[in-house]
Amino acid sequence: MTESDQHSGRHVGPLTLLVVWLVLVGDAAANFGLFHVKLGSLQLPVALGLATLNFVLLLWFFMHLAEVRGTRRFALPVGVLYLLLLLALTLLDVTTRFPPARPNGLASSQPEAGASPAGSETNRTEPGPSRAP
Amino acid sequence: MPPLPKAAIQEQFGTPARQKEAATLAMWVFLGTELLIFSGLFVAYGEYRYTFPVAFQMAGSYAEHGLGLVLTILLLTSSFLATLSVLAARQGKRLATVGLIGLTVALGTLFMVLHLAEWWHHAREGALPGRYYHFDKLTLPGASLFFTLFYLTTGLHMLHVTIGLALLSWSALQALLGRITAEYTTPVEVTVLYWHFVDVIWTFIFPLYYLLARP
Amino acid sequence: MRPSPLDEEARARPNVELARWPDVHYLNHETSVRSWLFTHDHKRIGVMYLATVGVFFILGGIYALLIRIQLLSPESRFVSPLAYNRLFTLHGVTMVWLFMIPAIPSGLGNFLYPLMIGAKDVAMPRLNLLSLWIFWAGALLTVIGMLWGGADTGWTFYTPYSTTTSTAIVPVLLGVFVIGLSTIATGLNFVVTVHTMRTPGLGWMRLPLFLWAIYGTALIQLLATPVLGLTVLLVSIEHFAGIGIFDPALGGDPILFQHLFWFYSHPAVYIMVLPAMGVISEVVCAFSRKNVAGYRLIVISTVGIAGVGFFTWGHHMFTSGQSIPASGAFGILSMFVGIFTAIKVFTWTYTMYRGAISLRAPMIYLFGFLFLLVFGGMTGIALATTSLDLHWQDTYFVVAHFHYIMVGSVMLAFLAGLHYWWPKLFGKTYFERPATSAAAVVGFGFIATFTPQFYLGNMGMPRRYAFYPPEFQWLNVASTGGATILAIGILIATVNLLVSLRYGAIAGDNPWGSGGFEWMGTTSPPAPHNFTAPPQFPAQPHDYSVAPRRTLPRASPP
Repeated sequence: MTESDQHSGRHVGPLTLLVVWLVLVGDAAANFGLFHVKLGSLQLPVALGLATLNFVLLLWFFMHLAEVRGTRRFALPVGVLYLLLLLALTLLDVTTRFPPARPNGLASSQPEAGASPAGSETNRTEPGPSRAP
Repeated sequence: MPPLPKAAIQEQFGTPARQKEAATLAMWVFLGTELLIFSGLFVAYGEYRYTFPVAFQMAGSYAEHGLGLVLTILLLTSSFLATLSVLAARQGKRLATVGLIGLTVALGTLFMVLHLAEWWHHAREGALPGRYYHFDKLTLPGASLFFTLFYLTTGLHMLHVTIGLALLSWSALQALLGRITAEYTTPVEVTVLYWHFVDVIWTFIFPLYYLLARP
Repeated sequence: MRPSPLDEEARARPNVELARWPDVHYLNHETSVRSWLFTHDHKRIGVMYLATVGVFFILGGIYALLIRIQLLSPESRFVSPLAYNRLFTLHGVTMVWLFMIPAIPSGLGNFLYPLMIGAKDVAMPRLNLLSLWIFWAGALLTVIGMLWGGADTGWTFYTPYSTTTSTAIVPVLLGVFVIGLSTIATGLNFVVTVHTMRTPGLGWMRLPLFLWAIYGTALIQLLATPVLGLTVLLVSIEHFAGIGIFDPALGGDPILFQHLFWFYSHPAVYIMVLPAMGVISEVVCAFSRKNVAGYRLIVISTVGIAGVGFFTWGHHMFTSGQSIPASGAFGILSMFVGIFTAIKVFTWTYTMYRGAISLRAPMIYLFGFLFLLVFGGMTGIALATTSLDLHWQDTYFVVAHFHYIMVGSVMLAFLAGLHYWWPKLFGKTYFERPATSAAAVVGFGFIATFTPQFYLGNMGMPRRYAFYPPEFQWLNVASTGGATILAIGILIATVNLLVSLRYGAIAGDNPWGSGGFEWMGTTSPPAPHNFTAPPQFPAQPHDYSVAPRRTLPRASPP
């Protein structure tokens, strides 16, 4: 972390960048295409997986130009780790919570597809607290 | 070799190289904090999607999938051009730098216009955030949360797009005025880094809000 | 009082010289108001931070005294219940964001950081100035909120009450948001500074421990504060525009707010405690004339607390409706932080063993710190036990626990640091007898204030209540009595420091003969640009094998 070497990033040339760009666009289009295929419960992991691939490519090739070695490499990955920590432990709570303490209360979390439970806009089986203006 | 611009040497640093290292480190660390600003909204999405899966999928079916792909490609292309502008700056090609940044700004602006049009379309249908939601076609509990999160997340993202465009325009101006040389490319490099980050966030917004499969 | 080793050394050793007052230093080289408000000098910025947090500390203390007066009798009509709710909210907001979070890192830290690494300034001086202005702007917004009646939600702003209350919560929330921006900017500056501006040859494992502490603090600030920023913004938007994600009527989850809030606010307490521990690491070495007993242990503990502190936030939510598996997980994770704190306490204690201890004011504060940190920390581990917390949650037991850390440790460490570095900041020594007496009064007053609260909480008295059952009265009266003593002690300490600015003895470069890097190569007060040449730091900070040169304070000319 003393003197930096400005010139070490130059080995990623315009042609490589073009290829990376094509891969990125291809990924996005693939994601879009797969969306029309019925993947069921795999849909979210696949979509996020392709997004993560794009994320890594963007970070490594497009943003790698601006970094050499050392601390700069860790700033964003460490941020990602802590985001995942927040997500993981919050979801641990939400997914294992006593059902009446969940936002959808006693209502089944899987109503029939397309049906809206009879009644008004708010559609809850328990009355919610009224909102102050 | 043209002399270094005045901004390239600030007193507290020993050498311009160290100053550049500090500037890029600062931008990377700052991007880490920006990532964490978005984290709360992604966590909220995670919780509510788990709690209201059908409502979210139904709401997602009303998203404009094709437009989402177009927006994604716009941002990816703008990132590509921005990276080329950094290459051009490092080779001292002033006009190429300005031109490429200009194209990046143009694509980013087009992104914003299309995105705002999408917002307007949703608003006209009644899919407004929070307690203003009155979208007749979808009244399941939790559906309004999808749209609220959509507006909040893409709204925060658009704020960052705006900041990114402003920063890019400023660095294009610096290049135009000759303050960027092959030895001093820091303003261009850090603003392009910021722009890439804007694209990175969109990389995750796209599948989460535009690619929810129909149930 | 027996002469301290410092005085005996002054008589015995030849490396003691008479104090000189530098002709030009950072305080007198430019004196216009503009030169202060638009300065890039980290020392001036640090002093302005200290002045600001000092004012807000007094304000927060006044709120606290008003609370304690209300609690003197069970059905007191001293303030209305709504006013009481506002008092404890504003006490919390003021003390957390306007005093404790900026005090050591932005105040003392700004001043000392570049001195400790041999740099002329921080990496981004203009950003540093902007940090200060943003801090003032946020403080102003919060004060406007206070003048408008202030919030009544508690400093924790729990939804759905905070999104529906009719009090002036939005300016307070936005004030906190803006202060958060200042915190992020300062953290960013510190991280970049220590990575890129160390003097040649100064490796990471030679850095002063105060620097490591501030670095760990900066890491926490950078990772945690953005989450708070978003969260208070979401609550504000939901409050004034009805656009939000925490409203149960629309399917929202109020506990989500608590997750997001505490993800910041638990690491925030480490933002407050880590710098305090950094101060203690410095003071214990200087006043035991001994290098720290385990440098690497302290470094690992510092980084450990910074990292692991993020894993524990759910222990604030055991009774909020959080799931049992998650509560159990958070309870166990919370225990780990205690390990690192214990390592530090043992290391500091071992540092003092066989050291040449000087019973000056900083050392008295240090003794108080160690004693109170142990009790505060152990009650924290007790509270992290889920089954016990079910009974203690939202009682005065919790209040006593965190005040033991916040006041008993952080505030005492802040005072220790102020006294230790006062000569470096202002070139004057404070008056030792009033300072030592004040330290003892503060310690005694603190124990009298908060120990009764452990018993009150254990007996079941809830927190944030303006009225309480009569059987709790005598402990409350004891607590208020203690608060009065504490206030008097703080007053004496403050007046002593301020008076010494005018009437104190001239300290000279290094009146303590301390081996800390910040005392070497610069005058006291330091020159405007700190160093004229890269300083020659010894191999380790606080290396007393060769006694550092010490200056003998002399009375300032009339």
